[in-house]
Amino acid sequence: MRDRHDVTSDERLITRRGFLRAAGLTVGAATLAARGTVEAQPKKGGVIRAVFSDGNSGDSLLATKMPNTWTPVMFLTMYDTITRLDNGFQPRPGLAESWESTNDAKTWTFHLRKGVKFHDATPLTAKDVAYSLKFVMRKEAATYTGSLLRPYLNPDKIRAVDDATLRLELEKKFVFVANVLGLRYSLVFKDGTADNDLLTKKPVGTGPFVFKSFTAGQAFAATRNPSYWDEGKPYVDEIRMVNIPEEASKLQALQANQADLVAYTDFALTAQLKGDSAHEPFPFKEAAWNGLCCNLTVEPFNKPQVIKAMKLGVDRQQFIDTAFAGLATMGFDGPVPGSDPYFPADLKPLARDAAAAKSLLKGAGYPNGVDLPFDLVTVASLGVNNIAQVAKEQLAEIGVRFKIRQGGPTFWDTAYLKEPFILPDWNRRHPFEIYGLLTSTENMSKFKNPELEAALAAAAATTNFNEQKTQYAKVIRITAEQDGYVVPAYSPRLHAKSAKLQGVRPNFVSFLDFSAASLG
Amino acid sequence: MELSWARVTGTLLRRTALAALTVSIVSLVVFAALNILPADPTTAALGAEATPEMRAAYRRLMNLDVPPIPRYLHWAEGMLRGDFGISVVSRTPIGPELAQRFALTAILGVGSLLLSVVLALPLAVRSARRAGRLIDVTVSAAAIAVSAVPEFVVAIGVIVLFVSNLRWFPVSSNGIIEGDLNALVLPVLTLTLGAAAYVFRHARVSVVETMSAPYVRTAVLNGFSPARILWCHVMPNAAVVVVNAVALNAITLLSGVIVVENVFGYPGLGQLLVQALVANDFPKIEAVAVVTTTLLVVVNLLADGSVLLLDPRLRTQGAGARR
Repeated sequence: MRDRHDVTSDERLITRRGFLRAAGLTVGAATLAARGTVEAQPKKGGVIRAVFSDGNSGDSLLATKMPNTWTPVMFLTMYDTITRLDNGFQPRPGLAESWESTNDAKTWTFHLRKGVKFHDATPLTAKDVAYSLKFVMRKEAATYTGSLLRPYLNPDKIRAVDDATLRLELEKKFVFVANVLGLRYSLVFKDGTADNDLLTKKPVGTGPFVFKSFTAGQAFAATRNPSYWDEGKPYVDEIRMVNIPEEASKLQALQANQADLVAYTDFALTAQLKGDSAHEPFPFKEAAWNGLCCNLTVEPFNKPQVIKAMKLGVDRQQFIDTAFAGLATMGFDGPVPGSDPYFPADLKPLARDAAAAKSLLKGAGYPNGVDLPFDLVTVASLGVNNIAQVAKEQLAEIGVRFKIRQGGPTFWDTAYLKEPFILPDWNRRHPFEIYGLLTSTENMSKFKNPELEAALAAAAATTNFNEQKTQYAKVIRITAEQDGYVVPAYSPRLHAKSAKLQGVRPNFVSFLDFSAASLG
Repeated sequence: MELSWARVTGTLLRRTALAALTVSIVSLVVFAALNILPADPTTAALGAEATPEMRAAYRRLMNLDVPPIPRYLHWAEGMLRGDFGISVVSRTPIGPELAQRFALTAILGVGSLLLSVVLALPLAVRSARRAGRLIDVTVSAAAIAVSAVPEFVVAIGVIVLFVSNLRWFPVSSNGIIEGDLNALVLPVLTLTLGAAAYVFRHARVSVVETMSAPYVRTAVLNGFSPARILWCHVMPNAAVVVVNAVALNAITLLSGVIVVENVFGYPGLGQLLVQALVANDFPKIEAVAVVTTTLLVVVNLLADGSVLLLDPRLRTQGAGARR
């Protein structure tokens, strides 16, 4: 027996309640239309000019490599993923319109959307998708999709059943296959595409925009795909991305109307845009977490009272107001934000209690507080220094004193997983992903907890969302209470745009999706 | 006095050999420094989310596991053949990219240098001839002020004026790739302001000093016209200092280019170097270092050669220190 689950197409099965709701909406829409107050269709045409700052001369058209914020946007305008992930990390239809798995979650069948064409007008078939999956799973391709799937799936067991059906036969149970196929590394190329083709030839995908030009570290342009499968989209004729490394220059470009969007900018921008009605901050809330990561095997972090004191010592609201210009949300000392579908509703953020924090430090043998014998090493990311400064001041008040050292561009090589006290920058991920990393190769706190591991295993053993939620709730709670992460706030990724640019969708896969964008 | 071209040739050959040695030493020092740093290009190539397994696979693919000395020798051999190697981050050949970036930086640098000379020399002569008067004091004060301000600040000032207020030019100089000369204006202006101030100050001092020399007083007493005194007696002697100032300026410009290219997003060598450093793209950093060192050395050689041609004392038998 097969368990058809999470067929999250826009064309879901019509239920009685759904039918009534749809009928109601239709009547309502007709009434509004009669009054002439229906929202206008997105305006077609125009060129979107987007400015980024981390383009690098090392970038290339090799779509299996996406080391910065520029490359995913570029590739996801030209290529599609097999499924798509919404901003709650739930898989939605992409090139695969629906999918199902057997009860043991070992055999997965994906039904592809019909009528999809590559930019060179050849039709998409399951052979292309099967080839693409094998292509990104190669060890030498070194993709994240490959590292997630290889423990479960032998590439030889990826099979095109017919032109529109793809089947994966796993060696062991894995319930998050459809999620992985929505990640940015699960792109679909033409059958037979090789690394060298990607590096040297014009990219050919099925995405909303067709490649026009690319200069590494400088510029990228793509034009509207008139045959895009998502009816009517994209709305604009062209998208142009340019790289301006200097923050001040980026904002001047926006305010001088030489750009429609500046991506990944400083929180100071919100003040600069005050009173500018033509431009607005464009935050993607809860997109990242920047926590103080304490190695629990190192003194004084090996004393649970010290970690607890630090968690009680931070004033989360002050963090949100001062370090994030009010754009962040409460942090829960873990990698999952409060709005996540798996988050336990009854878990509340810790309120600051300086007296209790001092008392805990005293109990740990530090009646006069503690001078940490190492520095807090920070990653070179926008806004991180502000976070470190606020943390330093707040924790000094309860008696945890330390110096801040900037890790610079070599942070990930020299400090990450090496220094006992770090402040990295992580994009938000699905709990299965982030906890998979934090309990294995990326265990920054060296935290081990059998109960947490059992809950993770239980969540990964069921396809039932509610059961998954129960298990992840346990995991999130244990992390918040015991793990070595002090995450006072969940950070936004801050962009800014002109008021006339509408429909751009921030997300965790391409970061910015321009397929529904228009210039009003 | 007898001219000794053999002496000139000998000097130039000696300087050329020294220049080659300098470039070799710089390449070794840069290579050693990059290997001492615990930086890893796989982060830039694969992203921070790369797992240790992914990194190891990539290191094997790009031969980053090969010990440093064979890697340096392999690289140096390629360089001697004009092969700059392959980027360990993008896996594309470095040579064509370097050539394009070099050409764009040359346009920026040479343009700024020429403009600075054209702007500064007449002003310097005019100021020198009216030394101590209002125009001299005003222009000199302005030159000192501009020299004292870092290029970054000048660049931001230029953006605020010409982009935000007047809206005449694009803030991004990226369009230069497609031949948009508008994209060149602001970076050239920023570099020219600093360079012109530098040339002005040196040229003015040199002209003032030369004008007070005894042979100039003799020329005045002989009743020569001011123009003849200036162009036939003052300028040829002042030119030695001016040439040196321009050469030094060219060297300073190269460092300014790094700042200015990053502020304006100008796709030249300066930006390439910063991006390669951020990405720990070792072969690319090496290539840019060698090319810029060679450029500096060549500019110095040209300046030395020009001074030899301009100053007869330096190419006369028995002249200089040996006397």
